[in-house]
Amino acid sequence: MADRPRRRGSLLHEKDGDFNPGWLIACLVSLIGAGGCLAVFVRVLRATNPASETVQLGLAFAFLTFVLVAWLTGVYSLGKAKVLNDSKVLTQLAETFDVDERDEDQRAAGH
Amino acid sequence: MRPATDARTSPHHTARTPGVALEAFGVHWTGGSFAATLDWISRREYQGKPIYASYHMLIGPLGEVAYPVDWARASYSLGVSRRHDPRFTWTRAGNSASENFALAGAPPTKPTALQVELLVDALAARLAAHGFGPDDVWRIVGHDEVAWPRGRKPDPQGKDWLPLAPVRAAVARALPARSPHTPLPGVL
Repeated sequence: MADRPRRRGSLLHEKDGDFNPGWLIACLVSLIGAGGCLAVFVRVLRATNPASETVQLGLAFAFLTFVLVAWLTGVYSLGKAKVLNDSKVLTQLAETFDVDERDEDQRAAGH
Repeated sequence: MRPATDARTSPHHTARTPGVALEAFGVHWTGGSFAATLDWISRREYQGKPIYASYHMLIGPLGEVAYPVDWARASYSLGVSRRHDPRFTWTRAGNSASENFALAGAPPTKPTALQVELLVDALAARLAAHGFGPDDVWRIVGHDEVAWPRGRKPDPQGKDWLPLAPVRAAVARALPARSPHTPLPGVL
């Protein structure tokens, strides 16, 4: 059986040591959104107005589906990259903002 | 008529690390126009975030040329990098081991023929200045080949923007046969 990749280091840092809490923040925001949708869903189930219940139920399902899909396609992939200690996905996302092209000697010298 | 050389400079450079041989010639895309790149690399920060980026030579699509960093200095160009070819000797000081050439632009707009022509001329001149001959064109490296971790940077070969194999071949044709590793007198 192949060895399962193990996470090393902080969840708040990329493999190369760069501080990157972005995926964790995205997870938290997404979970809060999912919780909100769940609350809407429960409220709809308890609705006392049968005439509007079908519409509200449909809306609630739509919201919940949207959040789950967003979570699975976005947050899960980022989280997986982080957990597997593969900073490639994260680095590509941050690529546009990489404006530090000092080499390691220059950084160590404090330039 | 080709635009005149731009005299603007960049503050992003240091002395080259002693003992590190100059042995690589890095090629980049800038991700912006010629003017925007010059503006960007002349700043120390942008929107509160520090900038550490520069090149020795910048070439615009209309033939604009700038030399923002003196050849004798180490520009901030390669960032954290690792050699991809065992013939190189540098380890951590990629910027001290290289001279760096940038073409303004980025995908999806391809570099102009004039940009590539000027790049080939410049690379040939700089390789010759350091005593390198046609057999040394492997020293021409893309940022994408040496940036660490691998995949950190796509330029200049990402999306087939500027394949370096034809550039190396053109530089080899432009270089006179010369014994490698014999720098010309009085050059760096």
